[in-house]
Amino acid sequence: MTTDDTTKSVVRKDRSVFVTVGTTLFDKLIEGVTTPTAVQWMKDQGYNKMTIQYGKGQKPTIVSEELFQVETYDFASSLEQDMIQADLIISHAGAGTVMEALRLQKRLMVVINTDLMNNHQTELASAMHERKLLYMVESPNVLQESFGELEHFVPLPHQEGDEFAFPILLDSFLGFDQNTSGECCGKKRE
Amino acid sequence: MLHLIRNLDATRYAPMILVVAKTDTTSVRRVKAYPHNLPFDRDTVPTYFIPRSREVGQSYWTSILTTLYSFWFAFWLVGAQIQPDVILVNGPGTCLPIALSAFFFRIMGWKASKTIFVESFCRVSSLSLTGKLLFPVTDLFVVCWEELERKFPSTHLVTSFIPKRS
Repeated sequence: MTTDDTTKSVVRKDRSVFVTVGTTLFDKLIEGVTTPTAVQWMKDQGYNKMTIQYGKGQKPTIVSEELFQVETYDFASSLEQDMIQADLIISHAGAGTVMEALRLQKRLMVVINTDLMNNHQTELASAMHERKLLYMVESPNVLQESFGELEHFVPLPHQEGDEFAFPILLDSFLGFDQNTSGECCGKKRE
Repeated sequence: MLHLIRNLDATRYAPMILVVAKTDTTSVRRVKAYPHNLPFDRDTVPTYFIPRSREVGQSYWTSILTTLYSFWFAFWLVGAQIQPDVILVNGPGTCLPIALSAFFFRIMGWKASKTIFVESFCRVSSLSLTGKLLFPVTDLFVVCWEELERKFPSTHLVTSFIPKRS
């Protein structure tokens, strides 16, 4: 920690929220995290920065304040850095984003985009919510109320699954390690 | 897809060839930006762009023509140009012509590729449309959740994408 001479305050490390919608359009989520209620909740929780990746939607009009910095952009080739630096991630229910956030062991709130047809994203988010790996919000319409409940969310500690499971399965299936190709793991097809 | 293949042995699975939908603008960038090692040289990896069967909002009649074109392209790609030993697909519509071409060549007794379908991580208790269509014609069908493996016992479960509870 260093002392800023001009204001004589202590410069704290950023505690930030990263909001992401991936390659989708999800203006209701962006609006929902930039309301005065949402921003105040974030400040009360000790966050001093929000980064918004707004995808195909409209650029949000929110501006930075002295104690709450806001950064917005539409796309980036990799969101990993912003995810790594975040203390809380709020995202749409896209599989890629969810996987990445959980792999990084981040506190994750997922909001379902109820405007999407055939919303099978809910399946994934629900399954993970049940396993207490993330906190799911069923619709952007209930987002404002959800912030308070998010405070009580305690994620279960978890570790990454075996990243060699698929290579091992594939090698075995193709007969690399045994001499019986096509028969794998006791489950012969056809 | 990249998470799936990143730990494949590059000496066993070579050459690797990528097939991307023609109007897909992000996948190639994501390959180049992928933060871990990949089992191929990302600057020189052969990449083929397959026309989509149908773009969003396209009319019914022209869709028939473009679907035929994409199947013709897939036939050529699988049967003549690449003749792969292994085809790995993970679900978008783009993979349908490829997987079906491979199946066709196999039942005709020509080059028999092994087709591996990995169902979307999003599918917890039901198969995607592509999964349902390709379930009977693939050699290995991988699912990511126990619920699906229970429903379809001939599938293989891989849970590396789900963080385990410790």
